[in-house]
Amino acid sequence: METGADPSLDSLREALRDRGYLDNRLDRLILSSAGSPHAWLRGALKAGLAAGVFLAFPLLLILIVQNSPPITAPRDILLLGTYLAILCCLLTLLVELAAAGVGRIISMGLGRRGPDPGKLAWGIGSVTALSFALYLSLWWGGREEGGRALGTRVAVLTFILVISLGIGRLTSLTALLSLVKVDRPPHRATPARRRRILLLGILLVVSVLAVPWMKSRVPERGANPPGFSVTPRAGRVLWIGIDGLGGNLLRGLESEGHLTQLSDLAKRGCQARLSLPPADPPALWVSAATGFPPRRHGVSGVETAVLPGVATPLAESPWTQPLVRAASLLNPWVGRVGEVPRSGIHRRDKAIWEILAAKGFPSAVVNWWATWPAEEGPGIRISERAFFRLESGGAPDREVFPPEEMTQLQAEFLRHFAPGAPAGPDARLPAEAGEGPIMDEFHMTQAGKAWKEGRWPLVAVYLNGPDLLARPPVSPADRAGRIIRDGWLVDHLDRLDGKIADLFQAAGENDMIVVEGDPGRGDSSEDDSGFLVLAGPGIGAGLSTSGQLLDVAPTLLRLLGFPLSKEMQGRPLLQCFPPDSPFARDSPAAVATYGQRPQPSRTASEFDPEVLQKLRSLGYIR
Amino acid sequence: MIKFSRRRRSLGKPTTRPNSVPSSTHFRDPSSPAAEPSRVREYLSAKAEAVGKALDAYLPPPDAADGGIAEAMRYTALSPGKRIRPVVLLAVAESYSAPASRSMPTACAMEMVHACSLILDDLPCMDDAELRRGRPTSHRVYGEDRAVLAAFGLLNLAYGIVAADPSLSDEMRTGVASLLSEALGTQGLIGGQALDLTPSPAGRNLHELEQIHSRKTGSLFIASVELGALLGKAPEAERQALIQFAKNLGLAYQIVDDLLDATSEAGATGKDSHRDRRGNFVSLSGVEGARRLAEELSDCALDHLTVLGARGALLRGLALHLTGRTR
Repeated sequence: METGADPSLDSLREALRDRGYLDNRLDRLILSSAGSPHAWLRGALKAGLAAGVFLAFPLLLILIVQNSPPITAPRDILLLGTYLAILCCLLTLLVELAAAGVGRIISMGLGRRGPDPGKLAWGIGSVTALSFALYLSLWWGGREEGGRALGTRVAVLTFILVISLGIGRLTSLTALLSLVKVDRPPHRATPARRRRILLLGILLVVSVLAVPWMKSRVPERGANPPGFSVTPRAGRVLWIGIDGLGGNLLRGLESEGHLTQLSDLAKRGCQARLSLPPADPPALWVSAATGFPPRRHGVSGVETAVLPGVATPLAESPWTQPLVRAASLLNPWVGRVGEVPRSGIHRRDKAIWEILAAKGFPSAVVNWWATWPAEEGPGIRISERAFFRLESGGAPDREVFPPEEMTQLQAEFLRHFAPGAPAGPDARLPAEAGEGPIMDEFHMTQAGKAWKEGRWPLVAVYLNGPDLLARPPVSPADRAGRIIRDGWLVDHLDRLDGKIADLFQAAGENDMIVVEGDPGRGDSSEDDSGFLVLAGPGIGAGLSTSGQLLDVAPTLLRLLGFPLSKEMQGRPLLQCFPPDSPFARDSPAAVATYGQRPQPSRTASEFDPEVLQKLRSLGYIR
Repeated sequence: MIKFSRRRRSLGKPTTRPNSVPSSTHFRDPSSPAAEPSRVREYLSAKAEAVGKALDAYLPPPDAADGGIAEAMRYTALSPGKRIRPVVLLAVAESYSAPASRSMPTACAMEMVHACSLILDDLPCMDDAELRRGRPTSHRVYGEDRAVLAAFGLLNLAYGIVAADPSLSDEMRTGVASLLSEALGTQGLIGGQALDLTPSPAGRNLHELEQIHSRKTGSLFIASVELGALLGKAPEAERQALIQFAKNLGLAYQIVDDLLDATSEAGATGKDSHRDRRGNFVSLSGVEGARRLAEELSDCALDHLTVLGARGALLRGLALHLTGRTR
């Protein structure tokens, strides 16, 4: 009869184990199946489940810790653990069943005269271990993360080795069961059941305790930086981003006599050549707004796959993509795995306008990537989903802030862009233009309105621009030629160019205009680059320089009189500022960090499928 | 020296002992143990008898003119015992279809070595025992001088039998001799006895107990199994598994023996006061703890037999029998 736990017995057992008695519990867990009519099958099932948990647990830990931010919500951890356990167990079950099957075939084929079953089983286990080690190493090495720090590599390789050896060992036991012809030895329950339960309990307690500990280690997101001073600037900044307008296309159009206003602006101010990493538009434009690379700010593409129920956005990593892909294969048993457009939910870093809001500076932001849900703060936010909502109707879901702006936007949308309206879409536009030019005009109008109101220190607007033509069948290589040849997009750009000139005219004497362009999707080849044109008082005329995408945010901070963040990798484009310029002279002391955005409470909205559809029709998703 | 034999005999058949380690609810599979207990009992008695006959043939015949040494040797070697070691050796060899003619001489050598150790262990300078296998000990019957000589006579004969065995290849012969020598040496029986003589007023701890057990009792047990594997030409992986089987089973057997000491009436077991004074596994872990350890050890021993497949059936049955379990 089982009595209470006996520590002296446990220590005795351990002491005996140290002296070579008893042995591995795992071995016995598998081998204790011996004697049942289908020992090999039972062994394979047990080994598969054991190996699955063995594989899933460290994977879960790695996923939790290496995700940025670390996953600390207990519900997320539980769900991820469940997904991982199911997937890993299915995978290892297949491996174990295959090993057992091979063992059965060998034992049936060779009969009693076959080689030593122990050696055969060892061989099967070794092959499995080697395959796992090889596959995992190749998979890891084939990733960008393969080039990480030595410590990480050693840790990962050790982990791979341990997992491979463990699974190899279990597989050899399964193979052994299927190779030997076992009569019916007595079935025995594992005596250490209570101890195992205790161990699991401890593990659970440790895991539960680990959550608050990890939470305490995660820098509190959304916290404002400690007090910092701002140098007051007299002027406002209008920041216009045009997607798909790279340096090459800009020069090509200028040489053909287009975009005259922009050329003029560049001559009056400073033009910088921007080197860009290859990435999707949302990643690049969010990098420009936050000053951080996509890996950090979290918006690395147009859409992302999510695991249902897991609220913490999963960072791109070698672990998450296979997990999501495998989970989608299990659909619907694991649950629906959905694609959601990346949005502000996935953005971890503060954009310029949020940094401004920390000091109570209002801004007007129109259509910038990853601004949905429109964050509360001083100013106007027309998120990247506002246009889609206006088109499709339905109850607004935080597309605009303040929410009452939506009514006015709806009225304007109907007045200008509804079919049949007097100021409807340009009839000359070909079908392939889609609604991109309409969107640009609408957004430019909103930005212009805000700019002319004159009460926002920063007005930022993102325009789809020629990037709209990036979708098939136009390949990136012949896009520039096509744009110039077709003409309608040139006309569109010229119209935007005219509006930029209008806004420049409307600017106050201290106001600055910043126009940014990048080559767009698939065209950030080495011979092309983005550009940044700065014009206004305090900016040197006719200057040119070069920088990188991450310099945009620090440059804007400098123009607005805000301190730089030591976390940002970029630096302000100082060459654009003459020595006597206030932007060269006065700069407040840099802050260590501006902090990160508050953790989102969910990853998806009901509007997501429609937004995806819209993005697809615009060619952002293939 | 190896006391469980002595006491077990006085308890009658192990499977019917009222105080043996009970089969707990762990062993709940109602179906089929490995080899039926009745078959195991038959096997044990048949092989014990065969070994007895072979020993009788190997031992020098009693001779009035030899100073009584042959009689003294025969007195202990042929005394009624279960002959666990030679029977286990034969069973292992049989599992690999080794002919009995090849394994019997070595089995007899093993039993002679065991008998030698019993004589020496009972001497007044060691345990000073009066009874062995229900009869007066050798030195009580023949005097200390002759008892010592009989022990050496048996030891010498054991090696002689192996050396002269025509059924063994040269390689096997040296293997058998070397295994026997290891089991008897300072890391084996002799070393264990020396440790057992060392007084420990505070009672023995696990380390000491295990050291004494593994040398005094375990080494001959392991050697029996290993010799069987050698004679049966067992593959290396199975030989290793058999060694682990013997190691775990040997300790389980020892603990069961300690349990018998602890739970039986003193008169019924011929209880050795030595043991209690020195401490044993029951005094370390309590009756229930020792019972569970014995179960776990024998479980582990049985698991190691998995590699043998159907060949392990008899050994499995023997193991269950030796640890007093029905399944």
